[in-house]
Amino acid sequence: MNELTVVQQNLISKINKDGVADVLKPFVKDVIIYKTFVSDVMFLEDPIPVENVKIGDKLGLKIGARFGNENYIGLYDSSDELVGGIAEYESEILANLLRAGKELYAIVDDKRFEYTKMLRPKSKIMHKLAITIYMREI
Amino acid sequence: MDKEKLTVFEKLVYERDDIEKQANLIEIWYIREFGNLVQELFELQVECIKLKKQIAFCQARWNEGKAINGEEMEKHIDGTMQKYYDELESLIKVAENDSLLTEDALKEVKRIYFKAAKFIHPDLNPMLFEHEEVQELWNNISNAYKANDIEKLKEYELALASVLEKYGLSDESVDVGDIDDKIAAVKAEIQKIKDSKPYTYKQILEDTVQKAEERNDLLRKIGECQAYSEFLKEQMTKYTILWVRTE
Repeated sequence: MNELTVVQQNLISKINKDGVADVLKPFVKDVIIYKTFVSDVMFLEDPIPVENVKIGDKLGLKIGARFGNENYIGLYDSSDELVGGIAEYESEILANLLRAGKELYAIVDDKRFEYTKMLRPKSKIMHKLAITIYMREI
Repeated sequence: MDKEKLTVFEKLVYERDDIEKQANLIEIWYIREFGNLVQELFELQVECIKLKKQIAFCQARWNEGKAINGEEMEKHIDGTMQKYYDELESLIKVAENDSLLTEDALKEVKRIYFKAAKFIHPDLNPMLFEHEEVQELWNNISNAYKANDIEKLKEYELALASVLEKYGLSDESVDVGDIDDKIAAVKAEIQKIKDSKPYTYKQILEDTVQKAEERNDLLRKIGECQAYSEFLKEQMTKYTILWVRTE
């Protein structure tokens, strides 16, 4: 059989003018998802990592069972220490993105603290971290 | 039926089919001219797509703090990559095929096609085309014509004789319906083919300067793809700590 029959229409155009190469750059795009506050800070077993977090720090997002929630999204510092999480009511979309293999991270925009009446022995103050969540597209 | 209009329509239909065939041949010509570069570029693009899928797989594991099993990842990726491998295989087949027909063989291809078209072309004889066996025969003849497959066309010529005998067909039975509309539609089709790829590559292939520009453009794209591929490979190293060996 003449193999020319296997020619597929527009195969070349897929590769050429409208191909992948023209849309490659930049290799990395960081897309803002939304701004929010870190939750569950007062329930941390170890409050030291969150005390060390500074404005501008990058926090990684990971999903896993915690605090009785199967889809709990935790925020981790550069040493992979938990510094808080995403509130359950706003974590559904992020959980889907994380399970689809998207890289999500947060940048700390602001850090304040206040004394609270809900004190635990290890936590004299409650940290309030404002963050922006980003999705990294490569 | 206006005999003159019918003749015009018939000529246009043949012209349309011939331009379609030319478009296919131009695509093959393009592949022969730039085949190596196009193949290299496509392979690189497939590699990048595969790496991106691997990264997404690993990142999902990373996000859940799970280990990465290489075997499981390959199985998952291969399933989604199959269509790209099939396209790559098609491209290689076209690039490797260098069998060109002789002038006489090309004349024979045309003769058989026009003979078949006169009797069973769907635009020229829609009533007969309602029969399933006629549709199948026409599709086969049309594909073999586009591919210049003379051996197949010779076989189909025999089948055509049998079909014509079965339906007692003659030139007089031709009825194409509203001829003016059909003429306009075929003219539009011809223009559309001429204005789109791969037919438009003809201009590039016939001009030395444009050909050189096309080559440079492909080389530039290959360079970009190589850089992107390296970048993706570098990204993959992040996940090595999650890698587990499977025996």
